[in-house]
Amino acid sequence: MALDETPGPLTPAVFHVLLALSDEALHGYAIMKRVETDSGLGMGPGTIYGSLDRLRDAGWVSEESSVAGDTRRGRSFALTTLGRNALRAEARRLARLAELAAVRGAGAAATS
Amino acid sequence: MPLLISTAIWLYRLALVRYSPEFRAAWGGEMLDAFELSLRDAWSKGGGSAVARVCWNTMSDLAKPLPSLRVGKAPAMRRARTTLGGRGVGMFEDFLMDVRLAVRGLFRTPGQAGVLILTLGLGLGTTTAIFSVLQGVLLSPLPYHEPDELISIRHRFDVDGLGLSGLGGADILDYQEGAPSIEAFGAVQTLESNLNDDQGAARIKMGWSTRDFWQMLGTEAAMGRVLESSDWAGADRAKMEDPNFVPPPMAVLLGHDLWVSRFGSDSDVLGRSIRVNGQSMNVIGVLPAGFKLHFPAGSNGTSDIDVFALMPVPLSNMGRGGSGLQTIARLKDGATIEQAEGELKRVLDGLRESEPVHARRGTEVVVSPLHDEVVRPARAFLWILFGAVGLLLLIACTNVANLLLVRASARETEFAVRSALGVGRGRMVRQLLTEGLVLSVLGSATGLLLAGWAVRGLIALRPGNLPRLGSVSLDHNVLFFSLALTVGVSLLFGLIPALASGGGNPQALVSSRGSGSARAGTVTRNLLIVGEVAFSVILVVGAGLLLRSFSELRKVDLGFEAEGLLAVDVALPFFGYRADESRSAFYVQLAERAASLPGVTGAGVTPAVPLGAKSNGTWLTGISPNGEALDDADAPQARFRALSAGTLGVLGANFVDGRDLILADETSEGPVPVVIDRRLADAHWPEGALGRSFQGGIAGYTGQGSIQELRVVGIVEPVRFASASAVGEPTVFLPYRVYTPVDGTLIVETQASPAQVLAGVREIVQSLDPGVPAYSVRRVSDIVEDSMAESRYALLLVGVFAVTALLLAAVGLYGVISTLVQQRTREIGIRMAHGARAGDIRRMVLKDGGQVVVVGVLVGLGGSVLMAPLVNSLLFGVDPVDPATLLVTALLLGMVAILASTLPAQRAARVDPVEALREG
Repeated sequence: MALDETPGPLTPAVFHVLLALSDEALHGYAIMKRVETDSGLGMGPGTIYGSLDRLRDAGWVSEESSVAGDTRRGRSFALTTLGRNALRAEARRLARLAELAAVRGAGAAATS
Repeated sequence: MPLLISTAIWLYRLALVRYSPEFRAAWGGEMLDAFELSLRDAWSKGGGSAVARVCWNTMSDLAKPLPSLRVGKAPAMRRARTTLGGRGVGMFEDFLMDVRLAVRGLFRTPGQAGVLILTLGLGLGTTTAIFSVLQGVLLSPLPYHEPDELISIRHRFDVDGLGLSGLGGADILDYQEGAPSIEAFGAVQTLESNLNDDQGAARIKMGWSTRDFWQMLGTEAAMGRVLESSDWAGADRAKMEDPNFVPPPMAVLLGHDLWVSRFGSDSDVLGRSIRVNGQSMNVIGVLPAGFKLHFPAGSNGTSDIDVFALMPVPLSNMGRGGSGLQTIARLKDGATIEQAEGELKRVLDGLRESEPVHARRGTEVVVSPLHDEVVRPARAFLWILFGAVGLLLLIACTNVANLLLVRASARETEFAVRSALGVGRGRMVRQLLTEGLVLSVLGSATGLLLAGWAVRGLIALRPGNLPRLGSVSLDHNVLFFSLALTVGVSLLFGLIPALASGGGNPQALVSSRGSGSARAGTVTRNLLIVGEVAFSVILVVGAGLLLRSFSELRKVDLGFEAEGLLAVDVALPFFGYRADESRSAFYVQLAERAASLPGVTGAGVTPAVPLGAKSNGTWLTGISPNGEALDDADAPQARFRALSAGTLGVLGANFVDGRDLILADETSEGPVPVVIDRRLADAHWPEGALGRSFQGGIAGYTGQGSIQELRVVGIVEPVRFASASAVGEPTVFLPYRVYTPVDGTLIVETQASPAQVLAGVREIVQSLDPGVPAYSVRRVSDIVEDSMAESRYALLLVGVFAVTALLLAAVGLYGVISTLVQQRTREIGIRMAHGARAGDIRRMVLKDGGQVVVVGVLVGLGGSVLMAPLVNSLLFGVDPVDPATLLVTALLLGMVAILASTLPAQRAARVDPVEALREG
């Protein structure tokens, strides 16, 4: 369980995987589908599992033994507290940036 | 589609080596699962295009480095280094970068990329399609147990026009005795037969096999069991032919197709009793789906037998010499075919001493591997097609290489910049190779798609007598072949521009328009054009020869007029019509009554329609025009064919002299009136054959087929019954009463529709005997067309290849000449400034293009002459080195070349000297 010391923005892939896992534990293919419905991004297996690999090493997600009602083989993943904090921090950062954009006349708030 | 999905998954599994072993161990299985799931989801929701999108996403996913947690500086650095081709990032990431650069570079000019991929796809697709036919028909082993041990044994006779034949039954017994290196013999005889059940009468093909045939073949039943020797329920010949003898029920094995179509795939069929030819039979088993009897070519329709039973008559009763007994055998473990051949020859040497028929006909035994014999008729044809399609692939590759050369010279600046920045030559050559690989992978994906359609088309065209079409598919062998082709082609495409471009010389950048290496490129390009034109010439010559040969074939005088004739097949059950008179009475009545159907102007019966696949129902025998003994070795031979009254007239045969057979000939006393072939008349009675008497028939036979006194009442020009391309044996046409086989074809001259005629004929047959089926009606002109199916098929395919080749050659030529003009804009400007006129410039460009084309045409013509012996087997009535075809081809190529170079020549002539010089 390595410590995440370097501050800085998350890569989009990692952010989307964290976001997909924010309200329930999912397995890899379900994450892929979830990312697609969340944002329209088509992420391939390499990106999804590559992210999961890093996230697990960092201790941001943990493996769940099984998900009720799901018979597919393969592991499921859930956010740890560490991961939830990282997602929250990134979301705050993005919200701040979105606000800034709105203030400068380029965001959703300005057009409404 | 499932094939495509499993191929994609298989490829993805391979591609996973891109990740580190640890990563693969941890995640590989789940990644494959995820990929498969997304493919299946995409297929069920969005079909092909969605699958393509998933594949594309996954491909680009493979090309990306694994994501890190946070955006940092290291990835950006790495990206910059890889983009410029720096070092130290790792082989695989370099490769992925190359792939990405190649894909991006390729689609920067989407039009050109489309042309490249399509050209390549066309070449690879057609080659793959023809290969899959070649593989399925020629290369794959026969679907039997230890197929290499199976051999074909036939007899050949020293008699003109008599082809290879099955063995006599008694001969098989002698061979069995005298050939210890052969483990077992098996033979099958086919007979069109009538199946009667509560659904009425149906026409089926019955295969009578020897007793342990199925054990020798090693085929298992899908349901129940195969036939074995204890199932035999026959009797000797005399007893079988006794009209009062009722044979006991026989055991039968159903073919899978009949089981499905007639018995509704009923699993209770075992033990059920059916009636075939009036004989009751018990079903003991059903053969597996797709089972076919692959026998040597020319063995009368052994391939699609519906029902098998054991031959009711013992082999010892089945004669010597030739027969319809198609014989195969299995060698003992370790025995060679040469050993077996030697033993069989020794046995036959003895038989020629003891058996007059072998002595008279000079019998020889022909032994060969069964596989060779099965595929023989297709072999030359398919290899020629494969050669033709190979030429097409070469032309497509040449074109692509040419376009790549053009691109390479346009990219010299790019390479020079990269070289100046310190990117090594090796690294750049590798990138060119990668670009070649990307191009060929995309091309071969397109090609596989095309091949899938093409294979379906090739099978749907039903190429005449091509054996084993059922085993043609895009299987793993074909995919492997396609993969190997792709790799080979990609190497070619990477290497050519890499070598021609000199790997990026910084000097070129300084001298602005790199004219030095452009010259080197021009030489390569001219060579490619010469090759392309030469290959096209060879293909066009081939297509031209096939076209001429086909038109020669159609011009042949067949000896009959097919127009306005319909053929209806009828056959009598052997067991209901064992008496000769009953068969001839049936057919004579049928012909007579059919002639009076409304709309029918004439009708006749003969055992088999001319040029139909069946050649049975006739026999070859000795004749004695000058009092020779019939079983004398020197007695002339002729084929005997029964005809009802007036049939030759209905067929429109050309009478040289005398008259047609008439109804009274069926009952006349004294010598039997016959019509003979003009060739017999010329050979034996040059002073006039009409009214001559002679003997014909088989000694020792009683009843039909025995020796008869014959008298010539008419002489006709030869009628081609067996094949349009060969005139066949001299024929004696006899009244039906002399020799009446169970099979018959009613030939009707009419303007009425086939359905109408069939209905009328059915009514007559029903009234004569309700148990007899009249089962198919065809236009005789269609039958004649079908007999030329192979020629037409070859012509169609090679013609399509040739036209494609011409188009590709035109595109290639056009591309090269326009590049040339572009590169020489400055030179043209100078020439014009010095007073050259538009016409001079146009002529100059045309001349440059023309020289290359002339060289190409000459090389191609030379090539065609060299290849002539290879195509000879497909030709009829045309010399393989045909001056007219060669000349026309040369002119055609010349015209294409002029067309292709006119446009660039015009453009050159319109060059504005001021503009050209300013730009330079």
